Amino acid sequence: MMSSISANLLKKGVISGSDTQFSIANQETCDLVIGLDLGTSCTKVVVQSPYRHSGWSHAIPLGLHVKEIYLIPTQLFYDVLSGKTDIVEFPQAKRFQNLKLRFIDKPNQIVCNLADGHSVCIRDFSICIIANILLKTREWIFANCSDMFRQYKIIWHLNMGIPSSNFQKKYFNLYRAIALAGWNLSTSSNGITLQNASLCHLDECTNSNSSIHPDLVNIIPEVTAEVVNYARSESRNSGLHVIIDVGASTLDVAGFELYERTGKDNYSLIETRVRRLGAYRCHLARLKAMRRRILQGYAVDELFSDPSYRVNQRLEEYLPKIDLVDFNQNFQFYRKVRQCIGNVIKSLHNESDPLAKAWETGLPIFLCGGGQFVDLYQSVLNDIKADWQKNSRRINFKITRLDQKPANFHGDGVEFHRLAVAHGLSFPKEEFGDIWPKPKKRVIEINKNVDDYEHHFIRKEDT
Amino acid sequence: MTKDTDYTGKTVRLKGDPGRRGVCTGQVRQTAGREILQVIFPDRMQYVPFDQLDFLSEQNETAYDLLVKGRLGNPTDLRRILTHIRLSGRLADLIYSMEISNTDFYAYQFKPVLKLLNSMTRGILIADEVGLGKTIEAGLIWTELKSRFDYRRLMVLCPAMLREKWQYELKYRFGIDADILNSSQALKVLKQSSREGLFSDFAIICSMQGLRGRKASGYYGESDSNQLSKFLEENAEENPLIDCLIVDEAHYLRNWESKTAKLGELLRNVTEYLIMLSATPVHLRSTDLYNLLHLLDADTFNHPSVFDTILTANEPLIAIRDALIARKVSQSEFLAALDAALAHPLLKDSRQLAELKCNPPNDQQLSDHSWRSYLANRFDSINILGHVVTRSRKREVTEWRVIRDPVPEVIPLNEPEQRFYTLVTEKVREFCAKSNYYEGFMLVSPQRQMSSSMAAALREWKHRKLEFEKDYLGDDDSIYEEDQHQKAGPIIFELIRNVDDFGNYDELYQNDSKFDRLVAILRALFGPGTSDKVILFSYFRSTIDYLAERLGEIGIRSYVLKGGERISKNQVIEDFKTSKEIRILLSTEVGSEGIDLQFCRILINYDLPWNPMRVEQRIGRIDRLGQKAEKVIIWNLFYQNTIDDRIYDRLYKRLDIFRQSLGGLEPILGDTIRQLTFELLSEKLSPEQEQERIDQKALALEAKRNNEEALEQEASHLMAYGDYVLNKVKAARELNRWIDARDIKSYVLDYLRIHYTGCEIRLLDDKESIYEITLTDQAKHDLETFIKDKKINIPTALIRVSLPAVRCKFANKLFEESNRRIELINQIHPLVRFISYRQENIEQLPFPAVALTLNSALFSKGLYVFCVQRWTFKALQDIEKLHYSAMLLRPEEKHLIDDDAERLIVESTIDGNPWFEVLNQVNLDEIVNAINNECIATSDEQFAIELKDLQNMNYDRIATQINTLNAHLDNQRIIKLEVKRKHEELGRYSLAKATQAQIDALESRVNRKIIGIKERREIQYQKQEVAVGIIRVI
Repeated sequence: MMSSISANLLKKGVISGSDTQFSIANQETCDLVIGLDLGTSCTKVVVQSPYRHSGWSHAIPLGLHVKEIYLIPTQLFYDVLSGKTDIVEFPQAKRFQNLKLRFIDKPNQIVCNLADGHSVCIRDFSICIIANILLKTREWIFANCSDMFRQYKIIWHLNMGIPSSNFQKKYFNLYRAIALAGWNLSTSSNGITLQNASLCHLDECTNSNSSIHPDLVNIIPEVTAEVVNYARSESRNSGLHVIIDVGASTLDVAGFELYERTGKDNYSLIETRVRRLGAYRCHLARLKAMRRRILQGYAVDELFSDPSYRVNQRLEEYLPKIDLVDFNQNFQFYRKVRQCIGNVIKSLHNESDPLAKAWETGLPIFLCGGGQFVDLYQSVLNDIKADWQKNSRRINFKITRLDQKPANFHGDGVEFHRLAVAHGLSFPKEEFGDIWPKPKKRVIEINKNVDDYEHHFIRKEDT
Repeated sequence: MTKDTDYTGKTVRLKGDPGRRGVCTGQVRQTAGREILQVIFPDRMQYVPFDQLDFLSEQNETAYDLLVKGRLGNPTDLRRILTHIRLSGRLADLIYSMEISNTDFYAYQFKPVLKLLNSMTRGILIADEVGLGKTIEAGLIWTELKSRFDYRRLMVLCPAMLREKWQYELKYRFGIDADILNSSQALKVLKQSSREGLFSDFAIICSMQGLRGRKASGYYGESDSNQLSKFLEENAEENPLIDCLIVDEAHYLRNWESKTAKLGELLRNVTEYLIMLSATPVHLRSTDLYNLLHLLDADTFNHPSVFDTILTANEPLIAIRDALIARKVSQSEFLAALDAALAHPLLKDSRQLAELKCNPPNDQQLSDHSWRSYLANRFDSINILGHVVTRSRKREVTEWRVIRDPVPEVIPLNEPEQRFYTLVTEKVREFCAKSNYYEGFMLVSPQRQMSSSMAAALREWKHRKLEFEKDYLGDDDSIYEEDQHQKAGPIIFELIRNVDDFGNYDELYQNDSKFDRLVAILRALFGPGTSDKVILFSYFRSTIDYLAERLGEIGIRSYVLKGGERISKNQVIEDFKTSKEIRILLSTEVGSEGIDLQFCRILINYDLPWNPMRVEQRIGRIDRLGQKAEKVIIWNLFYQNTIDDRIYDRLYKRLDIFRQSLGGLEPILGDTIRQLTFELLSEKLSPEQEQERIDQKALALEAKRNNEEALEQEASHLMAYGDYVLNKVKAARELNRWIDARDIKSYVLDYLRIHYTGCEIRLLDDKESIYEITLTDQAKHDLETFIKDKKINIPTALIRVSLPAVRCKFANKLFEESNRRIELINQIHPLVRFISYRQENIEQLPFPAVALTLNSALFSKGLYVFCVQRWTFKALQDIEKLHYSAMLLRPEEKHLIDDDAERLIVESTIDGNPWFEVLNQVNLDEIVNAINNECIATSDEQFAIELKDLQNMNYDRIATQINTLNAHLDNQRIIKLEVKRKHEELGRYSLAKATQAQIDALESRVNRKIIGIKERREIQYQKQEVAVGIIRVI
């Protein structure tokens, strides 16, 4: 059944959603960059026209079937019989979730066997989900932005985000391959099926016949995408920075250096940590801890055996059982978050970059991601800051949020910080300059105690 | 692109965003089979594919070229070019002083600015009523002159008691640090100005008393002020020493033979622009007015009969002007008025009138209100008097809506008070009858002191008696009488001698009914939930001291304002304003002039001056511009059945002085009141007789007021059609014809990023527009050189080597108290002036073609096209203007009038959004045709009309100037030839020769000036499109 988008496309003369051009007659070109942020719980897509239309960018509302239209659940519906897939549920479809974490852990793990005997692994599911998203993204652009672009030949770019801790060669290549494979599948006239996905040879994906040039498919660390707006802005500093991305499931903490050389930005990742300490996990941990606390206050074992047992008359009486101050102090999840963030900062200070000017001028610490407004994370940062300043007045932190919506960004009804990574990914690769992964070992030793200095110098007699 | 091509330094533009222009660095990459060039744009460096760039040739494309090519930009591009023109040029329609000072905006305060800019006289008399802010108007003129012409030499001449006030106002409203100088210091400054010329820089305040010459030589010696006068006289015909002279209370110069007037004349001769402030009403047949105008422009107003001449000449013009304003006028009526005007010798050669006669408006135009308004203004521009005097009255100021609510508190005398009152009054009358004194003031004083506060009066007289007895223990009565007579005045002395007979202080203290009434009022005013502050006036220090003590005893603390104290007036008022605990200020008359108390809305007259002018002065402290309350309450306390009571009831109420200002009565009241008070006190009159005398005076004053009002009407008739000017000011505000912080920020940062790449610019606070800026070494060097060459006196930390980065705030304000560590970058900051100087040739800037959408409540939905042209005229006055032309294309075709076109375009720069889909949603050829054939064609037509009008005006003005110069030369020649003749008669041949040399020098100077003026006869002009575009109103 043709979707309304497809029907519109037909009206405009575009044959199907797998097409990649309005018309092939035009010679003047227009670059469109798709920024794809594949999150643990939801996926966000932003498209940008970087050289035309004053850098116009727009969030893609593919989640029309859910409450937040720009936040597409990272899940795939599939039919084991036909292998058909979609990101929207359809009859008899099964659902595949937790794609991101499973892909990072075990991309080649077989998930199921199809009716025709095909074995499909997590990698194939990933390819299908990417393909479906890209197909629908193009459909939306063709349907809604025809008047802006139809006179141009579109040059597509695709940037996908990767957790900073995975920004290593092996993951980089894998991500890039599935991104390319996803694109190719989305433009194929054979349909987005698990079988077709499994037939994609990743090492052949740099095929020059693709409608996207391989050079224009890039994998960018999410933290870099998060800060690229800041790097382009007037309030940018050079030097050491820390970014704390609070996702639904994961907490991604990274220390990096930002500097400019020969007109290009350079991002050098120094320390990275990803832990499953995201906002949803915080929520679950709190609920569990609260339940324990409430129960602790009551000897429920004696409920039926002790006639003098007094039950609460009103609901409100249950709440005083939780001492919030004590709760926070003893909340294990809090400690873990604090340890995760604290260790990165400590490592940066003591080992990786102790001489950075930022320690004195104020280390910029960005708190971002969908879960940034959960107060626990801000509290952790405040505590860490207070501790550091107690021990050394010279050390200063500047805690900021990166939630300012850029002037040319369009996408109403959603808080920008949820889309910040996707928006950052929608810049052309050149905007990011060079990104250096975390080095194997970077320890700078500072000899604090200089008792014997003589041997550091050449004496006159020695010359 | 070929491999070998070097694109280093080439200017490029994004095809899809033509407003973004940059310069190639030469760095090239290869990605996806495309060449990617590194380009420096104003905001950042970027890599851009070669096929996305247009390479710009040496020849700048016009906005029209861009439109034809379909290279359409966005609202930011439009705003940028308009900002550059505003900041680089000297636009005639822009008011550079608007929104820059620390004052609230009142449209009428800009009338003098506009009038002066359009005037040939280089001077203006501001004759607004009291309380309307003449000081601010003068400050705004200075700010305007400073911004337009880079003027730097300001002098304020005022009565001595106003010097501190001027210093305060200039500092806190206009950010000017002015020095108060005496005559020798002023002389030093002016000598330096003579040496340095236009590069000299000062703001000084001098008193009339301090500067005016004294008797020279002989017993007093060669005084500083005489030396100053001599210096001024010597420099009379040289280049101006002062760019702008402000004379406050200019009516002190009205007496032509006075030394103050002479001082005014000397200063006028060395001043470029003269601004005189006076609250004197404007009567055309008043010699006072003539004398002031003579000072303003001696060559035009060279004889008292000039008013009659001007009146006669302008009569038909004024008549037709009034008719145009009031109703539709026929062409024949119009032409008849022109013929009448052209018949007068003063106007017979007027080209402007001749042009109007050759090309009169048709009946359709004459029925259009905006056309008629425009014509009315044309006639006003021919009228000389209209542009040298400006007068605003409170009733005309729509922002002035304060109602005065007088509350009489009639207090019955108790027995001790009645006794005291009777005894003292009798003694005073007895003394007057015996001594035959005509000094009304001396008689009034004890009477009024008693009416003010009996206990305080008695206390003071007793205290003074003790002082006398302490100092003079001798028996020599003659010495005693003579000395103290000089000190106390005869009547006071008499009272002091008999003070013991008048009563007992303690008794009066305990039975002070007026004080009790005051306390009741204050307790009500200071009750729970109230926060109003109160100002209480009394003429007598003794009363004020007494009240401060007694109120303090019952827990009502107060501030006291009286003369001769160490703490300045302004400090006391500031403390009172900011205090949370103390809510009453007790003040003598020293607080009734020159201070602003608009934050109070309650005034208590503890005693009632018998001169209504004094009452008006007091009320004027709270009933003035800036008063936020709708009503001010004026509590008047006086004893029942006393002279006070009768004066209040018969005189004040009749004149209604508490509800409305005195207007034209003020100058004449003094004498009348003095006479009345003497009559009331010197003759033994019954209460009914007193009442009758007062009634007579009240009638006479009323008649006088009506007469004054009629004279005012006549004068205002002749003055320029104020409403037109006022509407221009309001339009300027509405149309954003002023510079704001955003303009300055984009102007400065764009320039630095393109021309001095490497400057570090970091945003610290977006809301407040605060940045941290570090200039490159080259930029620092260039800026410093510019500052030194132009001798700019405004300091900037941006050139300092020692500072790593400077915190700067972009705000078009002259002064901000709060943040002294942040450098304010406004339109007169050295960096802005430096950029303006560098960017004189704005052909470097792109003239955009733009497409945008606009959500507007003012304009109907549809498709509009527009064009903005920049017109430059070099004539006697250099004029630069932006002309806006716009047309509705769909759903129907309709041209917009000029103001609406400007409104639409300005609104677009503020609220417009880019229209990315434009090329697929409009027919570009149709748009191009419409802009070319309609908008540009309309602008060209208007340009031709403007040019013609300007040519005529220029011709008339040149003729007038040449006539004036010749008249000046003739006058001076006559004077100097007479001097020469006298020298020859007395055998002083060398002096005669020197005088002849002066005549020759004068002739040469005047001739050179005339040659320079004639060179400006032919107008050089230029027009160019600076922006074109399409607007879709949704």
